[in-house]
Amino acid sequence: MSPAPPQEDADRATRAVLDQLRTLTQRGLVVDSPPGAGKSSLVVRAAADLARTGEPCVVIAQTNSQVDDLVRRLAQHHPDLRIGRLTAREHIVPADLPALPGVDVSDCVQDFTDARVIVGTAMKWTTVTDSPWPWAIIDEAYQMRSDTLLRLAARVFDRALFVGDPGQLDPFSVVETHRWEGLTHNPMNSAVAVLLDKNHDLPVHSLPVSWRLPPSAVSVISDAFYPLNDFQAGSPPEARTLTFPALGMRSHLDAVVEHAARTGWALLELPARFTHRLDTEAFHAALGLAERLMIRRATATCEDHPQGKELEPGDLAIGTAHRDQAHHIRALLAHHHPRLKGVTVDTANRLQGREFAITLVLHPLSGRSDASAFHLEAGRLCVLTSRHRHACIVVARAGIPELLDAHPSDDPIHLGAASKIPDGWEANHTVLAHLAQHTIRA
Amino acid sequence: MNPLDAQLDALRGSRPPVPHNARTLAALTANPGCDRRALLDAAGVDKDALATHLGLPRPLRSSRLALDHAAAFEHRVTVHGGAELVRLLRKTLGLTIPEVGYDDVNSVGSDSPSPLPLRHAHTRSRILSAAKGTSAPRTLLDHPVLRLTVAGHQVYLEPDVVAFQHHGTFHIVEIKPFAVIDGQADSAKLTAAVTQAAAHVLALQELLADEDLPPERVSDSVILVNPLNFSNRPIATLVNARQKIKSLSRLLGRLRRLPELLDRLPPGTTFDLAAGPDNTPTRPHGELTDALAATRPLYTPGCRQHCDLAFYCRSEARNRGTTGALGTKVRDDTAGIDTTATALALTDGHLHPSRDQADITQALRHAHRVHADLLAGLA
Amino acid sequence: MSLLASLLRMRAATTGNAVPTSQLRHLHLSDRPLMMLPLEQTGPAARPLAVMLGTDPRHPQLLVAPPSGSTAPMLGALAATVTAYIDEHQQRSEQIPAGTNRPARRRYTDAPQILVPNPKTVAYLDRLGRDLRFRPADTDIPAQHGVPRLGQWLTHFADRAEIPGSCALVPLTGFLTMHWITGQSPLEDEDLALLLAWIDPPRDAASGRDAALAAEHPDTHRPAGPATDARFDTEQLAPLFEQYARTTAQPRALQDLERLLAHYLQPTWDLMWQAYTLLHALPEADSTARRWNKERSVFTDFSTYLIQDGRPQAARDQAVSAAVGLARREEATAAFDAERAMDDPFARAELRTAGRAFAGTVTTVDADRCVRPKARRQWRPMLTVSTTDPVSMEPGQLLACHAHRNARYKICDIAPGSATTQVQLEITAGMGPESRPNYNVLPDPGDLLTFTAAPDHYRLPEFPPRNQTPWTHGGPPAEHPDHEGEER
Ligand code: SF4
Repeated sequence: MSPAPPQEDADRATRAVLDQLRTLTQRGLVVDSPPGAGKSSLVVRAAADLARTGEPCVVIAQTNSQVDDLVRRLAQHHPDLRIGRLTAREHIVPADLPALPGVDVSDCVQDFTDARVIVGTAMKWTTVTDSPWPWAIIDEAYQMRSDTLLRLAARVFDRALFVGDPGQLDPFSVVETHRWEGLTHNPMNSAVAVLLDKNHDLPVHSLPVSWRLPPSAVSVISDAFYPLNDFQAGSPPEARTLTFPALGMRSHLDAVVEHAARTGWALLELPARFTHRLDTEAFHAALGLAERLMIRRATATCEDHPQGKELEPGDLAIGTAHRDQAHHIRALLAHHHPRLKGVTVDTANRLQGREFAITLVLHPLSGRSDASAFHLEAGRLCVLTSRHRHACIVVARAGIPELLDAHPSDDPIHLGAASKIPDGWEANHTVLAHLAQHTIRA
Repeated sequence: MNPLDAQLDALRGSRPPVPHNARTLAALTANPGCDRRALLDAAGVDKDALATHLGLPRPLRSSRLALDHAAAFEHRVTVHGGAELVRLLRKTLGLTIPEVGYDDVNSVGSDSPSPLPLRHAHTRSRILSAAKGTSAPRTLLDHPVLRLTVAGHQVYLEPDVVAFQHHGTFHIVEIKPFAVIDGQADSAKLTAAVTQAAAHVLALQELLADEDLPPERVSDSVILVNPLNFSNRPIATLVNARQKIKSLSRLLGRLRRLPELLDRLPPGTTFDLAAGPDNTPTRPHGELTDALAATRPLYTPGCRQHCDLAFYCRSEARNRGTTGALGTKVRDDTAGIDTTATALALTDGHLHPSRDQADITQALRHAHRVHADLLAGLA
Repeated sequence: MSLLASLLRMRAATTGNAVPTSQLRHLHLSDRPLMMLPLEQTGPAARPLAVMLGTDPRHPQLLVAPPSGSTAPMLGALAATVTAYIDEHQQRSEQIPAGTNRPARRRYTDAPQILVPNPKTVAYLDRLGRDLRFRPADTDIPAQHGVPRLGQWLTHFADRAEIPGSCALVPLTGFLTMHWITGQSPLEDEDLALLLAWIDPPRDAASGRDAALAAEHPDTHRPAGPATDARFDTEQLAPLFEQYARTTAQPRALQDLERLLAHYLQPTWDLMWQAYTLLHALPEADSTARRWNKERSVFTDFSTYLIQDGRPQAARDQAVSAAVGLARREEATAAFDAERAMDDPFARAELRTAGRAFAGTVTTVDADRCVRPKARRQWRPMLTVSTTDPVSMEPGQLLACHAHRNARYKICDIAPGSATTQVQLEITAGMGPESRPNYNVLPDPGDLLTFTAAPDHYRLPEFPPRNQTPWTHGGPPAEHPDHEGEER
C-alpha cells in the first residue's frame, strides 16, 4: 500500500493531535517528530488552539534561539494573539522581537497581564514560582533532562503537550555515576523517557512527513535512526534538484559533489590513518568540497524555489563531533577560504534543530583507533546526517567498518534500563552500508 | 577433515582442542580486534597451559569458593524438577505455564566416553519435538547441549542454562550467582552473562534454522536468575539481549576471515607444547615466542580480565613501547604514532614529523612547553 | 585526563619512574584518619570476610567473620569501632553565623575521614551499608545494636565518596593519582601495591617499574581487596573453610583463619600508611579549607538527621532525591574544577593542553576605557595578551584568572599571528563598586598570566518536596520507601 500524499498524511496527523488535545483525558500527550517534520508549526498551532480556549498557554523551549524562533512564528501566524517573551534578566533578545505585533518582552512573568501565550526557556521557567498554568507545550522535549521536567511539572503546568525528535542527542551530564541506572525516574534520562516510563497511558503520536529531508535521505535515516516510526518525504524526487552551472575540473572533489548532486549522498573516503581528533587533511577536504560547491555555483530547486536558487555560504554547514574540530575548521576557513565566509561550522550538539541545503559531515568515527560510546551515539550521527534539504556529504578515513567490528558495543548493560533503540553501533552500520554505495576515494 | 580444520589442528599440535563454551565466546567479544587470540581460540589452543609453560603469571583462575557458591545456587534453583524455577517464571514474569516437565540432559550418556554428541542429539530431538508440537509440552530443558558454527566448524556449547518453550517461543534462562541488589547488578558480570546468553540464543536459532523452523521462535529477551539482595533466594529478570545477539553474530561471521589469518602465518607455525611422556611440555620457549610473534596482538590493559596471555602480551607491548600498553587514553592522544619512543622523539625534536604526524607533534610539543613553564614556575 | 597527562605517562614509562603532577593537596587529610581494609567473602553478596582497621599504623584491629553462620558479632564489633571513631568528632562544635540563605547554626569542629585502598572498596562499603541499614535493630544482643546505624553511616560515606572534592571516604589509589603519574596504565594504577611501587619504590629497587614488576609477583602480591585472589581462595581459604565446617573445635579453626588473614592483610595495611605519609607531606591548596568546612557541615547535618529522624536511607533514590543528588554532584563538580584551576598551576597547565586555557604576557593595558551599554557609564578596562598557546576559544568567551579570582574577562578579539596570538580582553567583573574601583584588578604590562574558561554560574536549583512529586514522575512515592525484602 502506498502512503497517502504527504500533505494529506501530515494534515491528518496534525488534526489528530489537535483533536485529541481538546478532549484529552490523560494529563499529557507526546508527539514524536522526525527531522524537519513541522514540529515548530505544530507547536505554534497547538499554542494558538489552547490559548483560544481561555487560559493562557505556556510554551517551553530549550534554548534562547529556539524561543525567539517560536515567538517569531507565533507572531507571524497569529498576529491577533498577545505573546509574552519571558527572558532571563541578563539575556538580550534580538532587536526584531519587541517590534513584532503583540509581543511583549519581560523577565518577570507578572508583567504579561494579557498575554495568551508565554514563551521562555526551560531554565527560565524553572525560576517562575506562580501557581501553575493549565497547559504547557514543551518543545524539543527529548533534549530536556528529566530533572528539569521534575521542577517544571511541579510548579509551572498541570497538563502538557510534549513535542520532540527522539533521534537527536540525549541530554548530557558531567557527572559519572551508575547510581540511578535502571530507575524509571533516572534524572539523567531525557524528560520524555521518564514521562513515558512513569505514565504508560499517555498517547504518543508521530508526525509522518519530513518536509526537510529529500526523498534520497528518508529511507536510510528512517531505517537507521527511527526504526519505530516510519515517515515519508514531503517532496517528490523531481522537486529537489541540485545542479552546477559552472563546469568542474574533473578533480575527485568535483566527482564527490557531482555524485552528491545526483544521489543526495556522497562519502569522500580518505586513506586509512589514525588521526585522533585533529585531522587537518580531512578538514581541508571538507572545506575544499564546500569551496567546489560555491565555485561551481551549486543551484538547488525545491518547493520554495522551483526556479532554482544559487546557494550561498549560509546554505552550507560543516558538522563535526568535537568542539575543537569545529574550531579548527573555522580557523582554516577564516584564513584560507574567504569565499566560504558565512558557512556554519559547528558540532552536532549545536546543529540540532537547524536546517541547511547541503551539509558536509566529518564522520565521528573517522581516524579513530577506538569507538567510544560518545562517538558511537546514534543521536550524534543522526543529527549530522539529517540537517540537509538536498545532499549530505560525509568525509571519513577508510577503516570505519573494521573499527566498528573491533568495538562491538561499548554500552554496559544495566538491569531495568531500556535498551537504546536504535543502538549506536547498529545505526552506524546501517548508515555505513548505505554510504558504501556512494563512496569516492580521494 | 576439511583443510581449515587440518590447518587449525597443526597450529594446536598434539593436544585435544580446548572446547569452546559460551564463556570463551563471550570473551571473544571483549577484544575482537586481536588476531592472535582469534587464531589461538579457533585452533583450541590451551592458552592457560601456554602461559604456564612460558613461566608467566596466569591472570585468570577460578576460585573454588566462587564455583561452590555458584553450584549451590544453581542447585537451589533447579532442584526438585526445577520447582523453584517454575515458580519464579510463573510469578515474576507473569507467565502461565500450565504443565511443566523437567528434563535434565546432564543425565544422558553419562557413562559414554564422549557424551556431548549424545546429549546434543537428545537436546535436539527434545527441542524439535517441542517446536513441532509433537510431544507433550516439555517446557524445561536443563543443561541442553547446543551446537554453534564458529569459524566454519561446529562447537558444542555446554550451557548451565535452561531452555524452555512457552506459547511457541523458546527462552534461554541463565542461572548466575551474582546478586541483584535493589534491581541493580554488577555491570561487568551482567554484561558477561547477557553475552553468554546471546551465544545460547544463536545456537538455538541455528538448531531451528537447520530444521527450517523460523529462528524468530527463540526470544531475544533472556531470563536471568540471580540471588535477590543479600539472600540466596532467587529472583528472575527479563533482559533484552538483542544488541548482544546482533554483535556476537556479526563477530562470529567475521571469524570466517580465519583462512586469511592462517595464510599469513609462516609455514610450519605451531603452538604445540610437545608434551613429554609425563605430560610436561618440552617445547623450547624461543620457538613458542617466535610462533606468537607471527600473530598480530592487540594488547590493551583490559586483556588481563579476559585472556590468559595478558602478561605475555603486556611485556611484549611494553618492550615494543606500544602506546596502547599505557591505556586507551594515551593511545588515543597519540593516535597515528605507534610507540612511546617515537612520540617522545617527535616531542623532543629528535625526529622530524611526517606529514601525517604534523598535527599531533605540534600538540605534543605544546604540552611539553607547558610542562616546562610549570617546572620553571612560569605561568 | 589531558594531553599533558598522556605525555607525562609516556615519560614515566620511559624513565621507569613516576612523575609528580599536582604538588598541592586538594583534599583535606585528617591527622587521625580511620584506615579501613575490608575483605569480602567470595560468593555471597557483601558478606564480610575480614576487616583490618584503626587509626594507629602499628596496632590495627582485625575483625574476622566465620566462614558460615552469623556475621552479627563481627559486625557488632565493627560498628563499635566505627561509631566510637565518629563519636570522637562530635565532641566539639563552633557557632556559624547566619548566611544569606541559612540561619545561624552549630558545626562540629572536626569530621571523620575514612581511607580505603581503592574505588572497589568504596563500592563494597556501599553494598555493605545497604545490607546493614535495613537489618532489624531489635536484637537481644546489645553488642549488635549498632549494626543498622553502621549501615547508615557507611551509606552516607559511600554517597559522599561520589561527590568530587569530598574527603569523607577516599580511595587512596585515586588520591595518589591526583599527584603522581606512573608509567603503567590507569587500570594497573588501581592496584595500590603497583601504584606505590612506581611512586615510592623501595630503596633497593632500581626503578619504579622494577619495583612494580616485583610487587606483581604472584607469590607475594596481595590484592588490596575487597575481593580475595582466586588462588588464595582455592589454595588457602577453601581448605580452612572446609575444616571449619567439619570440626567441632570451631574457635581453633577461626584462630587459624585469623592468623592467615592477618598475614594476608598486613602488607596492604602498611602500604596504606605509606600512601598516607606521602600525601600528608603535600601542602594544602587554598580552597581545601573551604571544602573541609563544607564536609564538616555535611557531617553535622547528617549527625542531626540521625538523632532527629534516623530512618534508614531509601534503598534507591526516589525521583526528587535522585534529582537533588544529581544537582549536588554537578554543583560539586563545577566548584571543584573551578577551584582547582584557580589554586593549582598543574591544573591550569592541563587546561592549557586541553584548549580550555591559555597563558601569555600582558602587552597593553587600557586602564581608563569606559563603555555605556545603557545610560550609565561603565568602567571596562581592556588588555591585550600575547600568547604562544593555540587559542581554541571564540570571541565572547568569559575567562577567569588565578591572579584575581573574582575578576572576569571577556574575549573581544583573537588575532592569530605566525608564532603568537594576540587576544584582546575586556574586564567585565571584579572591578569593585563604582565609588571605590578596585585598581588591583589591572595587570601591568609584562605580567605573565594564565586565563582559563570561566566556570558557568551554577546555583543549586530548587526541587519540589517529595510529597509533591509531580505526575510526570509518577506522583508522590509511597511514604516510607523501605527495602522490598521479598520478591517484587
Ligand atoms: S592478551 Fe594478547 S592474545 Fe589475549 S586478547 Fe590481549 S593481545 Fe590478544
